[in-house]
Amino acid sequence: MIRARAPVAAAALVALLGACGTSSSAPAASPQGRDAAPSPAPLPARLRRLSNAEYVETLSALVGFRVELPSSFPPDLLEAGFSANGRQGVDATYAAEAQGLAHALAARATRDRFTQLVPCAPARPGCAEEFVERFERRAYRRAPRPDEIAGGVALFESAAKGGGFAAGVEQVIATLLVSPAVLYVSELGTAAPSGGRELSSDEAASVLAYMLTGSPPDEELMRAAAGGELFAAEQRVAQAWRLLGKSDTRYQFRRFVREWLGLDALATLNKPVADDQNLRLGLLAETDAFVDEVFMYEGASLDRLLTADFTVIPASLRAFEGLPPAAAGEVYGRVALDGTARLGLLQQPSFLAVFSHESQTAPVLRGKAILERFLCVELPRPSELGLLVTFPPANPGLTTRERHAQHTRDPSCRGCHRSIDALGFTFENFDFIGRARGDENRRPIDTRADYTGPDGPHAFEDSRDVARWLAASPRAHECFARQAFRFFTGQHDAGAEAAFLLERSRLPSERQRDLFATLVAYVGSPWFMQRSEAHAP
Amino acid sequence: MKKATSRRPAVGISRRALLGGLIGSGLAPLLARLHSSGLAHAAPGEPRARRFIGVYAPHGVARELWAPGPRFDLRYPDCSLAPFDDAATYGRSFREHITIIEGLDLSAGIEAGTVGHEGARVMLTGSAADGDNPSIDQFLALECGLGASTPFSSLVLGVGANATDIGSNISYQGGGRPVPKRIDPSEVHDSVFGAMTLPSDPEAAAKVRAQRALAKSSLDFLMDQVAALRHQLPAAEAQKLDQHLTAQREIERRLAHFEASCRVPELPAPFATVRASSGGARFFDAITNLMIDLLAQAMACDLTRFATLFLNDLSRTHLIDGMPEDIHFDVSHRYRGRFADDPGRPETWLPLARQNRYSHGKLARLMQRLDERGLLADTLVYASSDMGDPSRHSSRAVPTLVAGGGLRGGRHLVSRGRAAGSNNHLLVSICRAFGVPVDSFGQARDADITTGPLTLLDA
Repeated sequence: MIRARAPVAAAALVALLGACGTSSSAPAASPQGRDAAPSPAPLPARLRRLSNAEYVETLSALVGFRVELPSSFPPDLLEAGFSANGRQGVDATYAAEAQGLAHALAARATRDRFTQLVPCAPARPGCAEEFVERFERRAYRRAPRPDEIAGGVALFESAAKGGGFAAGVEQVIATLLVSPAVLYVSELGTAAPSGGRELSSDEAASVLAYMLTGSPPDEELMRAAAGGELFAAEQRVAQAWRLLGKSDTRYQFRRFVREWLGLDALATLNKPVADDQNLRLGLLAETDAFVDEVFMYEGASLDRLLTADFTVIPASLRAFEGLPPAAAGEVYGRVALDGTARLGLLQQPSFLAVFSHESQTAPVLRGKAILERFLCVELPRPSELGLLVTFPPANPGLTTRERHAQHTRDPSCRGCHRSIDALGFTFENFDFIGRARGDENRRPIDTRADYTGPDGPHAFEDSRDVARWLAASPRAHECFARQAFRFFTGQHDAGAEAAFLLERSRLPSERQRDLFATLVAYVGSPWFMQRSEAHAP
Repeated sequence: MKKATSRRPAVGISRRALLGGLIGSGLAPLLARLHSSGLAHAAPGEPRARRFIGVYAPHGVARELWAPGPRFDLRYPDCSLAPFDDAATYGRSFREHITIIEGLDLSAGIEAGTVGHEGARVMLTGSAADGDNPSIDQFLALECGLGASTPFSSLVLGVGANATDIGSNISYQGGGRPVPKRIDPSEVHDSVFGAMTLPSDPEAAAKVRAQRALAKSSLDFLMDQVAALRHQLPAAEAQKLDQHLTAQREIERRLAHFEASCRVPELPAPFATVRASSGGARFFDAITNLMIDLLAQAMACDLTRFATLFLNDLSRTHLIDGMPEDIHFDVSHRYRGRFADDPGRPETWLPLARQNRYSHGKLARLMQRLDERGLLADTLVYASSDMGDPSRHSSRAVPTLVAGGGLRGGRHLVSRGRAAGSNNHLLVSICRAFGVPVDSFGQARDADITTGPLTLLDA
């Protein structure tokens, strides 16, 4: 049941309802909200704390073994769903957890990886300096200054004089793993001769590496940075293609899809089904493997993600998804989806389960996810429109769709919900954890919907039509590029996003849908190196 | 959409304090000094509150079985407040200690559309989703410096999940950054008590001292690095490193702190899992009890003076006999209270009231533990929820309980009227109980929502 809270200013209400995506050209439906499109502008200069995933990769690279964060480690603070962003900071809880972790890692690294970490015989004069210089260079992602080396050596001595060389090594590692030069990626730049600011070559290397790989720069990128090569656009482009070709880069693209669609929530949702936790983790693994397969072999584009007629699935999940049994010995396999109601990413149980209630489907959440995440439509909350939302009473004789009829009967709801619900209803043949179903409460499921809204009107038979419709929509492809910008640059700045789209628009039209080409074009543009003076010292 | 720029400042300091030049980065230490010298008191006399605990329990209440009866009766049949008047279970009655406030709204949230489960964010910040002021625990502890003399400026505890999304968090630092919750009692025990005590064996004690000396040299190195980096930054970015430096100073205090006289609680046996998502619900009762006991002892040892506790949804916990499996949906969503002309459905009140009584039992346990340690009188407890009526997901008339810190108890107050009923006024009153002279708390376009104390409380 929904009722108007009070007589709100009628004009404002109508304006907002009209804004709810009846026309894709309405300013209200633009991704920046209800303001005019911003002009392309450089990114603001800033210091960005690493996300937890980036920190794990960074620590692993420094100590030389795979690091896992303890379960008590504070979770990421997300911005618009993305973990790389300028809002993350170091509070007392984070600082204490990171230091505790650094101590444990330093002890293990000193014990197990001493010879790899210390490049010289400890008894040899100057060996401590050599170790400190080498470790600082890798930790700081640039050559350390002489005073930094001297400081590191003093730190080494503070422990070595009582505990020997190994204690000095451990002290340096334990400390540097939480150094601000490790924890923050600098995008401050220096004043450029032509005005504004420009990243240093070292900064460019770190920004590029964390952007495309979610990891610190490798040796080759560090070497190119030290030689000043990254000031040249063609060198940056060459490095970008090299990084995209590395096998581990796939983890960064998995993260992109997970964060863009909010799929990480699946790890912590409760679903009342048998072996709930393992099932949920399996469903995430399916999406990860699918994204790998599409990006590596099918092309990094939205239409391939949405319309691939296969999945890549752990053998143990085949029955759950109604797929034929795996061949003996198969752990993961690429399986054709012929004869199922599934197609691509949208009909995977991970997406369907996240956009559901605990034990019921949620057409509103599913429809909202399509509009917001795939079409970059900004939807107002009911309360912003002066509407007090109450839940329709549960009725075991009705389907979920039937219970949502109020939305389209009530004129104050219809403006938004005829778009949201129509999209959501097309998924009703999948239950709260993404299992296919033909009926609900012994009543047949109806997935057909007439949609009005951005890029509409359109008549859908079921959600596979939604996938095909999005795959053909320029607006959806542009939205995909916007989401990619927010994830890969870790920035949420409208002007910088406009600059990203401008570079994309300069690509030949068939290349504009290629995520890799779009990212590389941006890396090769001046925008990548520029930072705005406004926020600078 | 919401216009942050049209908002009033998050915290309005009174004119007297302004005259002292408190605005800007120097606010915290100055305020702390004023506080300790007694100059900043809104009212004469010493601050009555010394410690603060904010407790959140989700999903509102069955109002019909929550409101105290005539003469503050908490023991009428099925009253969910009964644990506060149950000496047999909790050692004594807390009836004269608590004040029940009816009719407070999370108005800043309602104004901006931050309602339903998201109301959790509004409880201690008095601000909606896009607010950037700290919650009252962090404001008092960090910005006013009242937590600066203890090794932990605050403890942010939770049960079941440490997500920091808007519906899962009540503590926020400046800039609107959520403070992550600690959800594992063993981890709380180790980090709060383990590092604070010296072993009695002299050799082991010497080893601990040596480790701390090394940790101190490491920290000094890092603090120099952060300070050097801070000098290169634009103002907006410098705030990040100020937060970092504050965190480092807190760790420095922990390294310098040994509490010889403090009794360290028994180490709780670790739980197989503490997370709701991996089957931890079966331990929630034990986890909640341990968190309460550890918190009370941490305060007794003066390891912290500011804390929040975020209780979990009880759905599928099987903690209350005879309740449906899915308490969230089958109890909270199906509750139908009296509303305007609608008499409601009384059979839906009792299940929700039983859930509420469970949460109130935990609050009574907290009061019992504080009482046993002589901390009851000067610890201000503020307990509330994200909603009033859970089936409407309404952020109006959220259940509110305050106790201690100089607030007179044994009262049932009813707040009426829109501006009179915002919880921001209560936050202003709480600040003043700590001797911090604010005029407003939180952010809203309508200054009436954020400005002024809850006068009802002084009546």
